[in-house]
Order: sequence, then structure tokens, then C-alpha cells
Amino acid sequence: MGEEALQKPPAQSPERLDRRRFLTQLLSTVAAGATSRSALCAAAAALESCAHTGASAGLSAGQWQMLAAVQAHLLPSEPGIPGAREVNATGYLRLLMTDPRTGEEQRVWLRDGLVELAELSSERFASEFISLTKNEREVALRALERSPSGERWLAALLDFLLEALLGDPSHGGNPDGIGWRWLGITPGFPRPPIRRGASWSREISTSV
Amino acid sequence: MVERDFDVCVIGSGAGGGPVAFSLAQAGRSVVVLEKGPWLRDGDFFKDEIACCRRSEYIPDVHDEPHVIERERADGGWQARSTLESGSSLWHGCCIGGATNFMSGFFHRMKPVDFHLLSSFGPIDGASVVDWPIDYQDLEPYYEKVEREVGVSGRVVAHPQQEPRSTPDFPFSPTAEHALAGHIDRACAALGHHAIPLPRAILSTPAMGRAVCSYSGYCGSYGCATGAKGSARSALLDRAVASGGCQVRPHAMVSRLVSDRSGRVVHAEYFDERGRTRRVDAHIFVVACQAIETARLLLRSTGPRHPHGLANGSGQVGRNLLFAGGGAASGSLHYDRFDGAQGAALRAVGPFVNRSLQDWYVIDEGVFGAPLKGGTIDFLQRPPAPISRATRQTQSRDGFVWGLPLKRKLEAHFSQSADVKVEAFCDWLPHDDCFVTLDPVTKDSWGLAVARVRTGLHPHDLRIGWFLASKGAEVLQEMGARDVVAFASGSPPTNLQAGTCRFGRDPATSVLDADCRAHEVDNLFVSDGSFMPTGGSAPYTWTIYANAFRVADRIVKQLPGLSRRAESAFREAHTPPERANRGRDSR
Repeated sequence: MGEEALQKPPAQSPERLDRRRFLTQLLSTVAAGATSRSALCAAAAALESCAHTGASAGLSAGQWQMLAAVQAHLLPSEPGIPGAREVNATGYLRLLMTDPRTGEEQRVWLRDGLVELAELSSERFASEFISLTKNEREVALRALERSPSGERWLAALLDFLLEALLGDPSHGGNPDGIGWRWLGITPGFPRPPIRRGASWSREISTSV
Repeated sequence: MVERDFDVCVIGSGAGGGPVAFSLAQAGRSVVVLEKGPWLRDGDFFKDEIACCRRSEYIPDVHDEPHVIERERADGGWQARSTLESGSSLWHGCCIGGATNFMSGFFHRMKPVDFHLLSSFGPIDGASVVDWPIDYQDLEPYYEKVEREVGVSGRVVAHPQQEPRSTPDFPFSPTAEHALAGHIDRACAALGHHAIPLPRAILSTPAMGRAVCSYSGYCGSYGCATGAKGSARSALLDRAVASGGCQVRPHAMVSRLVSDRSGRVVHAEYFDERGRTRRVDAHIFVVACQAIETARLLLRSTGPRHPHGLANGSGQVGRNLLFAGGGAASGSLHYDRFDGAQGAALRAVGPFVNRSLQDWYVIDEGVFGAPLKGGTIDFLQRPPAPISRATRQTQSRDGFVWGLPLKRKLEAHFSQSADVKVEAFCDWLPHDDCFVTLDPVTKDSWGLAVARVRTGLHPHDLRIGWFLASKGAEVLQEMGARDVVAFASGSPPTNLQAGTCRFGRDPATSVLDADCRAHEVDNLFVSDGSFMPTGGSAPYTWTIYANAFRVADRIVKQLPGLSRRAESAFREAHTPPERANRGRDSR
């Protein structure tokens, strides 16, 4: 029933509904059970097996680097204030995407967004996204936002980013509660047990 | 394998099933509870927003168990979409204890006027409002029983809408209160309103083997790790099982209730965790799966005497589905208005706001002409769901907010103000465009037809919801809140469901009799919110709990007759010869 006793279904605005619907479907499929111990262990094993190439979840090492760059643009690091890198946003997303129960369509979704952004960067700036200046990256991402598929991709990416920022560290983001400390958030208790996959994902994230 | 017989088989373990199982076990009867979800204990619940609220780990995956929802189109027609396509969900709390595990325990009784809406206010065009076949006084002893057995904390104060009580006060003192309560009290007093303490189904002191609330602040939507929350699991089923008379079977998805040529239910068939078909024999069957799923189970339980679904000779099963009408408001109390101590108190996480207004439970101010049924206004802190709150900060009219502007917005959002919310509850009027049927095409992972739910709203509810939300917003403005907004909502809250098997005196227009026994099946009861022909203007849980205790008393009274006079006949009539020959432990 919730402290919010009235729990509503997704908002009724068609535009919002589409975005939320997509995200809900994505989240429910990507991570249904992604938090189970066995799944995370399997994911961790998967990560280990590909750590030498950096490729995983159907994305090349270069694509993971590009994704990390996108996340860093969306939530940049500042002195003393965490950004995507400090909250381990890429490792968090990699953990979700390498979960054995994550549908292939979700990996395709993640890859398609990157491909669309790469094409857009190439067309506009004749360069890879990762080589663009900060302002050029902003232009490219705003252009991506104007396409329906790009908007959905960015909406989901932002939500995953904020999960990494403010979710329990046991899921692989927000290491040592760095996001909570920044925003003065008191976590509830009891906290969930530490899951093995979380520490694996942190190691991997530093390599991309 | 044939199960041993039970006196009573309860299907569903939430607010409707828990009191029945508890009461039957207390009465020395054997009862089995079939619940399709898992049996999670206090120790399985953590304050994990990703688990509870981002991944929805406590409800079925819509890929396995979709619904088909019909929503009204702009042209007045209806558009049906599977939740598999839409991504929305009507599920809530599928585990032992049901949705009560995840409530925040806003507990209000219904009031005497709720039992006689038609007589009191007359008909409303397009709505099928009826009087209840019982009075408030019939239910009052059971409201009181809920206070004791489930554990309701609160404080009775005199106010114009106070319903009659058989005891002077609650058995448990109120939970610790947040500083916002004082601000609300002062604003309401200035406006001439009567702010009242909100009763909570949360223990403020240890009792009945359960621990006190830990005041972590993460309550609603989260499972309770201390047992303080009065879930059907911790408050009732754990005790029922400990008494030795109650067996709880998780992962038991009941596919149908099988009835014989006389029309009586003879056993429940279910799929166990491994997908095997099992069955349970019992004298009496009690259905309590929440309104939508209860209707769905009855509709698919056809039999020789029930070609259109069990107890559905009248065609009433599934009709008059209720959600909860209402609206909401919100505002922000900026810390810079307060000195250090006051500001610190407002920042506190953990205590409950615990304030309600019921001054407009009946609206008699002339704004609508004749008096109308109004509702309840509850005040609360913005829930501590940081991810959910943060994601909303990415939204703007001009597109997504990201980069440093997002970071500054997040800092401001989480540091500058205490946010106050108002939730307004009014009746969701029963009408012909809110109902449950079986979808002719879509099946769940067991191959069973899923529920097709039309979620039409009566426009009257929006008027009342807007009126109440506006009253709440006035209080927020009086408190000095900024950015006050109010709105009425026509979206059906997924966690507040009732109707679909309304009780009444006339078998032609109701499914259940006044005792919640099916008119057409004398060993079938429905004890969840499905019985409610109208829902009152508050969350339903306390009323469902109370009525389920009342139904349990009726079942206990019915059972002795069955046991003494009809047990041997029952066994003879319903034990197949081959089974009798093989003994009791064969399929």
C-alpha cells in the first residue's frame, strides 16, 4: 500500500507512457531475478571470462568505453562530488546486461542505442563519440534525444545511472554509499546482503 | 497424491485469508492456506529500493502472468492491451501475507454512513450504488478485534466524524510522530479543521511475539523486517501455524474449484512449485485472492451447476469492480524558513506523520447542492525512495536534464526542503464499465485464461477527488509550503481493489449473502474485498480484515453441523471408489 497509499499505474500521458512502458519492460526483463545470488555469480563468472578483451554482453570493449563516456557526460565527475565513474555506473549496467536471464533483446537494445549514437557522431562530426569535445558530445546526445528510439534509450540509461548512484551498493553501484553521502540520504535498514557480483563489477568498471 | 482433508481450505493469504485461517485454527479446526507466492519471512525483507520498487521482485512477472486492461479511449470506446505490451501491472504483493506485507498501514474504519449510501444520498446516474446488507454495528466488534489481533496503534480524539467505538481507545499508543505533524496541526487549527491522529497497523510496542517498529523510514512498499507491521503473515498466519491447526502452502497456484452435480465445491485443484497438479479436499472453501483474481478464479471454475462460472448464475461475478477514487497534493517546506532545531526535526527520517482529516467525509457545504459523500485526507512525508525521486529530476519541458544541471537539481531536491504529500480517498463508484471477465485469448504461464479488466471511472469520483485534494492543498498553503499542486486522479490504484463479488440479500443482483457465503454454493465463502458493494472513502484493508474475522465466525458456526451430521455423508459422496480402495494417499 505504501507510504504512498495510492499507487498508480504508469502515467497516462501518451508520450510519458511510451517512455515508461519501454523502461518498465526493459527493467522487468533485464533484471527479473538479476539480484539472485546464483544469477550474480554466473554474471560474475561471465565477466571474468571476458575480462581480458573487455567485451561482454554483446558489446565490444570499444562500445563499453563509449557507453562509459556517455554516462560520464550525463553525470560528470567533480572534485569531491561523485559522477558516473565514481558510482560505478558502467560496471552496474554491465552486471545487469551480463545476467544470464537478461534477454538478448535488451542487449540488442543497448547496442542499438550505441550504434545510433555512433552513426550520429560520425555524420555530424566525422568522428567517434569518444573523441568528441564536451560540447560536441552535448550536441550529439541532444540530437539523439530528438529521435524516438534515442529518447527511449537515453531515458533508460539515465534511470540506470541513477540506480547506480542511489541504489544499495550490494547491486554493484554506489560503492560504499558514495551517492547517499553526497545527497545526504539515510538508507533504510536492514540493508540487503552483499552480493558477490557487485565487487566483480567494480573491478571491471575500472578497465573501461 | 490426494491431500488429507481439511475443515477449511483458504485460497489466498492476505487480509482476506489471514483472519479466516487464524480464527479457524484458534477454534481448533484444520485449515489449509493455498498461496501462489513464496513464503518470505521477516528476515527476507530488506530496505532495498531496487528490489522492491525498481525490479518489483514481490509481484509476478507480466511475461508469465499478464492481465489485459481495457482503458477508455478519447472517442468513448475501449482499448484493450495486455500488460505484457504496456509494461504496467495490476499485481501487488504476491507472497504469504499478500499485499499487507507492503502496506504502510494507513488504517481507517468505514463509517456508519458508508453502509447506507443509497438510502443516505440517493442514486447517482450511471452508478450502481446500493446499501450494504449489514450495518456498521455488525462490523464494529470485528474492527475492534483487528485492533487487538493485528495490532493497530493510534489515539482516539473527539471530532465531528468520529465513528462509534466499543472501546475508548486503541490498544497500542501511536507510533512516533514526525515534526511535520505539529505543522499540520497548527495549520488545520488555523483553518478550523480537525486534524486527527492516523491509526496505523504498526506496533508501537512489542506484542504478540512481534517486535516494535524500527523506524527506518522505509515502510510502505517495503516488507517489514521486524514484524511490527500488521501483515496477515506476521500478525495472523505465523500464529495460526504455531497453533498447529493451520498449514500454509506457498507456490500453490489454484487453477480451479471443482464442483459436483449438486453445485457444491468438492476440491481445489492447484499447481505446486514443480508444476504438478495437486488437489485439496475440504468441507468449506474460502476464496481471498484480491478482487480481480477472486473473480477470475470463480469465472474459470465452471461445473455442472455452474456453466458460467462458480456462483455466477446471476452473472454478477466480476461486476462492480472497485479501486479507490481520490486525488493528491504536494508542497515543499523549505528548511531555510526554520531555525536549526526545527529544520533538523523536519529532516528526520523514520517517524510517521500520522495525520488525517475527515471533516469532509460527508460534504455538506453547499458546493455541490445537496450533501454528498466525501472522503478522507491523509498527510505524509514524501516516501524515501531516492532513486524514484531522482529519476523525476531528469524531466523538464525542454527535454532531459543531465550533466551538471542535473547534479545541481539533485542537490537542491534532496537538501532544501521537506516535502509533504496529501492523499485524498473517496469512493470509487461502482458502475457498468468497471469489471472483470476472462480474456478469450491471453493465457498465463499455466495456460489459464487471464483476467481482462475494464477500468472505467465514474466522473463523479473526479469531482470529489478534486474537492478533497484542494482542501488538502489549502492546508499545505497554510503551512507555508511552496510549489503546492493538487490534482484528482482517475487512474486505478493497483493496491486498492474491491468489489467483483458483492454481497447482498438478492441473489439476482449479488454473488454473496450477508455472511459472504455464495448464494448458490453453501460451502463457498469469499472473504477478501470482493464482497464490498461500495468501498468507503479510505484504504480498504481494515475493513477487509474485520469482515474476514466476521466471516470466520460464520464459518465456525457452519462447520459443527457439517462435522456432526454430514461428515460421513460428505466423505461417502466425494470419495471416489477407486480412491477409497487405494487409500487416502493416492492421486
